[in-house]
Amino acid sequence: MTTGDASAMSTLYDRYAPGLLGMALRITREHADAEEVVVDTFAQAWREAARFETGRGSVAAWLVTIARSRALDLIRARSRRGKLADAAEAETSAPAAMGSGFASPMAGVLATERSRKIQDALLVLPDAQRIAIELAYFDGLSQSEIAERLNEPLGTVKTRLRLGLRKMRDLVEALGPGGNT
Amino acid sequence: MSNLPNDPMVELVEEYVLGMLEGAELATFEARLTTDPALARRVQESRATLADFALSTPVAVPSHLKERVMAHAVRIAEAPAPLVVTPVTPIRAPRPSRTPIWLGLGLAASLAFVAIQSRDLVREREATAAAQALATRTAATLAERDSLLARLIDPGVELVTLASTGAAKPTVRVYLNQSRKSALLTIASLDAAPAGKVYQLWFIVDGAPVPSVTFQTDALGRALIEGVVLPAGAVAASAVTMEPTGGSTAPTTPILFVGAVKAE
Repeated sequence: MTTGDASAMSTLYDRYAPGLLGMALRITREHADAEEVVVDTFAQAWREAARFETGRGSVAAWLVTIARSRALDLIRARSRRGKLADAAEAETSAPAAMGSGFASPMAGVLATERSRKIQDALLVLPDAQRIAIELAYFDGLSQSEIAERLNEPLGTVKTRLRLGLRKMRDLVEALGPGGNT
Repeated sequence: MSNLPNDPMVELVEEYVLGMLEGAELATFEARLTTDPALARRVQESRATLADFALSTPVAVPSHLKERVMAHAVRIAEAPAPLVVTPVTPIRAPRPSRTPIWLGLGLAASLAFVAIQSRDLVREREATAAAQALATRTAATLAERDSLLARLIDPGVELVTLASTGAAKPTVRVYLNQSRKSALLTIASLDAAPAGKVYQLWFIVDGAPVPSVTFQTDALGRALIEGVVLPAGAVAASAVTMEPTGGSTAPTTPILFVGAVKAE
């Protein structure tokens, strides 16, 4: 392995690891698991770099997709092992709002200007839409499961997800080209 | 075209990027994606939005994590030399306010805006270059895979799938090459052994268990162990038990998985 290749991985890591770790922590709610997700994410990126096509999406979206899949697999495996009680206990101390940065007091320090703006923009989303998106994205729940969790009709959940994500897209686009993507 | 307001495919973009489409609906959507650039662009935009959303709460990264990530990459590439990490300064410069404080400084603000856009472009190019550099290293990984594949499809290889003796349904497969006295072990969906314990592979020769390698699974329950040396004599079966760290010379716990080698 040449120094240049290590630098490539190092550059990707320095740029995305804090955000990926925050996301993984949000999903797994356990530091050790979140770190495992980050390690696995970069390992998979390394293995599958040849399949990455710049024309089909950003590096950030690629890494995030890998990390989310890994994290959800991990919590599903944990659930199968009957550790749901631990997760539920952790959940009671975790704020429901995405923008609150539950993972660490350092989150506010580490957040880039752009991520702060994104968090601010997300506050514009109605709570019902934001919660539906968070349950889908961070908890990996199906639409039926979200409907059951929120005691809402399935059609209402579908609409909230669709409208919420579209509004989020408009808000993020309004911020202009970003550092993340 | 997918940009028509009532296109049913457009209505499914959000569900698709959230991974909520299944079955025929998913197949139809993905088929349409291959022929509809406007729909593909919309999917790409939604994924970028979710990436922004997902990455918007960065946290402090422990110093040991980067070492683990880099070491893992080295293991994958099976590089013989220890990795030397070139320090890279993180780019964390805050973006200045979009609104100029002094109207008289409009020109300066414009220049600053151009500089910010350029910096974002540079960042994106750096990230893309980094990803493409990784791609070049994949060739070496693929060569390793070719070598592994060659070992697996050797005419002398026979596959032994070890059946679980418990309720769980992990997959343990042993690729035996008796003529070369070597084996390769793949494990899937097997929970990691608890602290102080490891899994141990056994070969049954002349009716007695002969100890082989110990192993542990990763967070996803997987493991791949290459270069397992077969004991002398004809291997009649393989088995897996859970043993104390370091392994045992004779099984100390019940057999978890066992599979017989087909008679010649």
